[in-house]
Amino acid sequence: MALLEIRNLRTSFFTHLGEVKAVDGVSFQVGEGEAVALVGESGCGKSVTALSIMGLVPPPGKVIGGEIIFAGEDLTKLSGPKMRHLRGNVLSMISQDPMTSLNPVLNIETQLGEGLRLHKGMDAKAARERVLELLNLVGIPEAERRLRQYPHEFSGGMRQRLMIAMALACSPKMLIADEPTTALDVTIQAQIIELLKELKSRLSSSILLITHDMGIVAGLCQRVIVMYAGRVVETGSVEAVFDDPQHPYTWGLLRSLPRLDQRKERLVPIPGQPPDLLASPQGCPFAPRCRWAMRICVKQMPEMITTAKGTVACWLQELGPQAVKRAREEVA
Amino acid sequence: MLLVLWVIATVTFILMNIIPGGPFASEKPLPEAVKRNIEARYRLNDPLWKRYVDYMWNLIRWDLGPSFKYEGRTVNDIINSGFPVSAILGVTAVALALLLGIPAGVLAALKQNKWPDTLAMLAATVGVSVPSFIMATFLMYIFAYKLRWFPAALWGRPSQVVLPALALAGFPAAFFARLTRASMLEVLSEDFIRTAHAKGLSTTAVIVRHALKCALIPIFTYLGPLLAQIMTGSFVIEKIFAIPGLGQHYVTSIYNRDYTVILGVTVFYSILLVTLNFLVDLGYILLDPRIKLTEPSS
Ligand SMILES: Nc1ncnc2c1ncn2[C@@H]1O[C@H](COP(=O)(O)OP(=O)(O)O)[C@@H](O)[C@H]1O
Ligand SMILES: [Mg+2]
Repeated sequence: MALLEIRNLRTSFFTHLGEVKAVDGVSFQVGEGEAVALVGESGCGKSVTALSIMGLVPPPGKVIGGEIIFAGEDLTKLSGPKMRHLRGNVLSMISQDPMTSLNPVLNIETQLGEGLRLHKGMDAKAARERVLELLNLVGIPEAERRLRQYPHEFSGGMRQRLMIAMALACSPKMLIADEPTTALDVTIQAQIIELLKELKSRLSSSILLITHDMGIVAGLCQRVIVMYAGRVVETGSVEAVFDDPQHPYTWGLLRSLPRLDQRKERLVPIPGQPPDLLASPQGCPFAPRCRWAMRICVKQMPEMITTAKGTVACWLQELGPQAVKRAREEVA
Repeated sequence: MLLVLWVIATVTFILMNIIPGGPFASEKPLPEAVKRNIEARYRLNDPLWKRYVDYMWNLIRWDLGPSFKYEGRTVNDIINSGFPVSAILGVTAVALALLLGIPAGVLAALKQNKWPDTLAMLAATVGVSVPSFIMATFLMYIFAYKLRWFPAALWGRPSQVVLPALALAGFPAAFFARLTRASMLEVLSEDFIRTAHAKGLSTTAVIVRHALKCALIPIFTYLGPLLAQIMTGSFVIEKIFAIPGLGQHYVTSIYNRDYTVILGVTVFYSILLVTLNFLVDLGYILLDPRIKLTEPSS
């Protein structure tokens, strides 16, 4: 059984304008020791999915349906103290912006040791040893001296290393990394990716990696989940999704995103705007932007179907694999 | 710092000498001989520059000279007897204000837009807008007259500190509550608070360890001037509760054109203010690691 299994998750924000369906029926799995990428345009609900798993959706947001089965337990039904016991312990998260995610008035030793003392019952000395070990692990030199320093004394890349060290402190079973490189300079991004790759090979944690960078996906992950407007539109192995993507949105996404490990001739943005999440469409949410949209696409939501290499929710599938292939080659 | 004090002392001295009239001016002209005697005693007919030099020299030795109005009392005497009283009252009031204001602000921020918030902010609005003398009268009526829990006035016993301190604490407590609420709300929306939650810390731990320290920094800034102001005494409160503090003397001295007292207390106040601000700056460095004392570049 998978370590994490999400079934039909729905998370909405109840704003004064109405209900924003940020996550609208998402299902996927992450296996033990597996690294899975969650990709999609900004605002499609990736972070909200991550926060839902962590049980940290900020108000006015709320998980309103579905199940999040983690190690056999449904997190949506877990009590506050039980959920806290998992957070930072077996389930941890690295957030997007390392500049604002560390407390500016507490030193590194305190911030990194905090989780260890709480979850592992370590005393100050043991926690300190472990923090030193972690700093070495994530490649922060002069760890001894840096323990007493504060976040502002670290560069952006170093702070992200600290965040990673903090998330790994209690050797979690699962690590959720929400765009861990987006806020960094390109050269620093490459270093952090290298670090993640190295850690991946050394540690046994499962990883859910949210990213815009297809380069990291290729280098780090086994499977890809593509989200659009609060829904999963396609899933599959990295090879399948990169070499033989099925959903027109995935085609557009692959052409629009940069890859650090490859030089692309040019990036082609997907024309049009992501839909308004306040009004849920009757049909496929991508239909208004889709070159191949058919009459049925705007009328009825396509079901998620299992293909040879993964799953996809698209009416084009009804036309058979040859038609899908021809349509895709039209773009390329 | 010394420069600031020198400027203040000089400006006060100049102002004092520009304003027409003197301590001995009264409706009825004094006999010429008496007037000359007095002027000689207080050296009022020395040239201005000489009086200034004398004054400065005495100031350095912390000799503030005799009072013009109270025969036989020096300004030092007045400060020595009045300041401790005002200081005890002031420090108690500030402590009360912190004790009431900060928890109220934290509570309001945590229960934003729910009834505890509404209640706390309503109380804060009252606290900010009701002048201390009305507060004092109210407190006196309820706790001294009706309930008879505390004495109504005078000074000397600890129980006599309570009511005036409460009256003085009203405004700063309300101010602290609003300031704490605002900065707490700001801090609670920061990413690092989410990080703290993501570690599995309890809400209490997140607030106490992660949010409060950041949220209290703005309050700290306000503490220096507030302490200096409140420690030098409040004329109104001291008058109402018949407390022999520095505030009473200060205001009375202005009525009486008691130059030396005005000058002395003003300079004393400035020293206090500058010192407290300096201490606040030092405290800042302890509280906020991002701030470092930088050498003033010339
Ligand atoms: N605090 C909030 N209040 C209202 N709506 C929100 C809030 N946070 C996120 N959303 C909505 O949820 C959608 C998904 O956001 P998010 O998961 O952050 O996107 P991303 O895929 O870029 O991480 C956004 O389009 C936004 O409309
Ligand atoms: Mg995001």
